[in-house]
Amino acid sequence: MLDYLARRLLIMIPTLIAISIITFIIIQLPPGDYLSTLIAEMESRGENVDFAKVAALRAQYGLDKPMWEQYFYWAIGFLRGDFGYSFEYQLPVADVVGDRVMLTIVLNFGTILFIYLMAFPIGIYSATHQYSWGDYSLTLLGFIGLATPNFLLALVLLYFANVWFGTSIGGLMDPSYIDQPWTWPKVLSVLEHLWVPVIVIGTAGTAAMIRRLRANLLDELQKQYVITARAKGLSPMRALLKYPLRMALNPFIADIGNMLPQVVSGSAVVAMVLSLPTTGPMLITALQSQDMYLAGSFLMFLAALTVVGMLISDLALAWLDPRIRLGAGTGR
Amino acid sequence: MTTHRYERSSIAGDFVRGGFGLLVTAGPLLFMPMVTWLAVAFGAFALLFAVYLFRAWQRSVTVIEVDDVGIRASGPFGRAIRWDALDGMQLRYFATRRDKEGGWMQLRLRGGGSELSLESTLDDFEAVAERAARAASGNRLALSDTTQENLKALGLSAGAGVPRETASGDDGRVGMG
Repeated sequence: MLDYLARRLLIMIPTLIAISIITFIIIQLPPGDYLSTLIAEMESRGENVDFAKVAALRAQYGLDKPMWEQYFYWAIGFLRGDFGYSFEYQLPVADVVGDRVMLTIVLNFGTILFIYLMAFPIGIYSATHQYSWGDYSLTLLGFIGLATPNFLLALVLLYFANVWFGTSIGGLMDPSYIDQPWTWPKVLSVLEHLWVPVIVIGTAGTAAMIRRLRANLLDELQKQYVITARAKGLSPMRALLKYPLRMALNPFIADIGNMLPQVVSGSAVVAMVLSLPTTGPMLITALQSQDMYLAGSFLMFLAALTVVGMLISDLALAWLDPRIRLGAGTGR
Repeated sequence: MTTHRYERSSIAGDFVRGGFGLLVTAGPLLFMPMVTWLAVAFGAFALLFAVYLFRAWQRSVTVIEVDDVGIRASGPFGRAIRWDALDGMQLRYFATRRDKEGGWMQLRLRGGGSELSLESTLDDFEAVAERAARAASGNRLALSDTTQENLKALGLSAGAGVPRETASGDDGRVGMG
């Protein structure tokens, strides 16, 4: 495993460097920069623009430097925990982002946990009780989950959370805790608000996972080795858990890398509907206003999540299933 | 008795990989101010690549000797396992590509309190794996499904008389590395 980890890391490091270069090029691609957008906005409002001041600001923010030089300072800054300067907020990116990254991680970790906790038992039940009433009912629920738009579900749940539990509308905490230091009541308030976005964001993913787990498990359960195991007297539960379930789970482990960024970016629209203080809405406004370092930092965060997720899923797969695939040869 | 060494090209590749990994992880750690959590991560990666380099060097000077009595790794941290004392065998396949092409195998043997790990970059690896599989069969070792499938991929079989009642995946007799 050590050799595997080392080799896998050697793929990850250049990948992250390449992604950072591509990200930087992408955020520089739109014509102009933050200051030219600001000038256009001021001119559209009929305000006077002091071009000498604009030139001074351009020099101050390093926007007059060549792209490679801007990239170099931005990338090196990452190592120091300096993600650049947000032009729009007139603050370092780290200060602007504040708790948002942490809240995003909490929300998305909660969502992934919800998806797994809901999908696994339901998927297993559906596969082992194929064409039963339970299977049909859960399948119907799954399709409803897939078909319901997230923003609609968000509005419905917000209403019921407010009417039944008195939870304040929108946000990830009670408004009185915003910008306050972290305390236990604030944590409890976050937990009280968390379940609505977790269910909203997680429903579609849960439904999709139930369908896939059911299909994968049904494939495995019909294989000869399961029939043999049962014929030899292995209990149904043992015959299920011993091998078919493990094999059916491999695609999900392989999917962890895709799941992390999908959940993070998929939660952006829901975050806007629910007024969640997560990274999604801020990324959208940063892209719109060409706040390049803020947008770039978010994109790098998503990319890093993808790459780290892929690493975790590859390591888990290598550990769980170190088999050669037919047709694949050993490189010597 | 047969002797086996690791192929020079693969050892050279390991040195290049280890050196590059150490350079890009220890380099920034030494010459750039870094935020603490990132410094910890880079430090851990640097340590990993240092161990990788050390193992590459160890492989470059190790000679594997196989005979009817057992298998010996002579060189630094050399060890030997008698075939009649073999009580654990794992054959695993790793590939960094998602399509699992271009990977390598790892044979882990355990017996008499010693553990030996060999990679498929070893000269005539199949012969060593075949001899180990015969010993496993002779000792009636329970091999995992993974090991048996990988043996099959090498054109070998675990041999008659090997019980198959063990769990799928790793057989647990050899600790994970």
